[in-house]
Amino acid sequence: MQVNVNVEDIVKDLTLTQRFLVLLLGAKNFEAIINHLRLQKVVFYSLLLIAEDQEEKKKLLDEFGFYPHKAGPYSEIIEEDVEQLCLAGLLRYKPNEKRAEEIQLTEQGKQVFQLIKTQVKEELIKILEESKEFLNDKNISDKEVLAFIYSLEREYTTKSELVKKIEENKIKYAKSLYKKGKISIEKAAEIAGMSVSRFKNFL
Amino acid sequence: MIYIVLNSCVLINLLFIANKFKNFPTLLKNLLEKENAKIFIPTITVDKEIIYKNQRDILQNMIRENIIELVKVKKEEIENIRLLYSHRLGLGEKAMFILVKRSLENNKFSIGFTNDKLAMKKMESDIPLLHGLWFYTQMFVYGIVNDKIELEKIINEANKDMKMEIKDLENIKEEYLNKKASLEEIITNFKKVHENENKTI
Repeated sequence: MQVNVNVEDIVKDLTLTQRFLVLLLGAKNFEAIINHLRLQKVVFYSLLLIAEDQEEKKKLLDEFGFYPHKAGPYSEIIEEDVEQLCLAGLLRYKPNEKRAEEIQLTEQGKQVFQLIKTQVKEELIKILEESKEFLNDKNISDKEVLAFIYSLEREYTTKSELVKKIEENKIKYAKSLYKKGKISIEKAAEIAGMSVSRFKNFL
Repeated sequence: MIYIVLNSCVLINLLFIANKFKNFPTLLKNLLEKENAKIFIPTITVDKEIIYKNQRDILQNMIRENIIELVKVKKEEIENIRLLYSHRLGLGEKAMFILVKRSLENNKFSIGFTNDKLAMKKMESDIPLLHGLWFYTQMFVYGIVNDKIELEKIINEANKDMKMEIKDLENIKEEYLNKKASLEEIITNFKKVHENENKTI
């Protein structure tokens, strides 16, 4: 016997972070998130964009449970939410993928997204689209994503096992992100830790 | 008066030209007088390392000649800027954005110049912008360089890293070479579009 579950009831049962994840997965035409690392960093970056000031940023990052971890900012809440949402039939790992890392909304998840979307400001959707367009891009590597994220919030890199490697190769990543049109030349110079005129010599 | 604000790449380029063509500062002065404009540069753009020594002297001369004026933008103001794309831009680009926006809000004619493709794409809906190539093309218009091929050579020499970008911007360059639009016309058109957008809302 098939049980019809009301979408409104599903939404009522979701936590704030779970609603956020559904919105993120639905933004940019339901584009699947490449892997867990990207998911963590896209959520983290989105929260930085949402926060109006330092106080709100801290509040949001705490609310989402971000702390310094082996790959930089990490939230267990997000990992647990992904599992919960999979169990609830709203998320799934994209089929036919060799490593089944890509996460996407199910058909029911898409219905839930449509309802939540009507309850939030359009600006939030734009932020999520920007974050996905920038960091959930197969043309950039996970390490390039980390080089960018690490340049934003140093305090979340204290436990990172990759920070040394990223630091050693920061010019390479900055150059690559710039050449792929993901960041401006001034931002690239900042990531590389040098002046624009000096950075230009590396291009 | 038109407030021209530059990012670091355009400043570096200007100093490159000034180093190569000794009469460029005079051209620039004439050009600014003709356009009733002045160049403003956020101090954050001119850090100690940004300019090679000989170019620093040229910059100081241009400041003395009243061609360029340095403007301080507070670091906190730059860090607190809330733009969807602000994390993808550098401090100098954001300072440029703040100066242009501030001038526009005070009903002053203002325009930013950048050579960066992403900065151009992201900011052009918020502030009037032109590509830094405009300054090169003025050299052609003013006859400092009479040969288009020679001009192309100079542009590529100064922008070794941005060859693709120049290729992409060929059409825009043509427009400036033909001088179809003055700075004032560009800013007026920008304002008109935004006024219409506000009316629609």
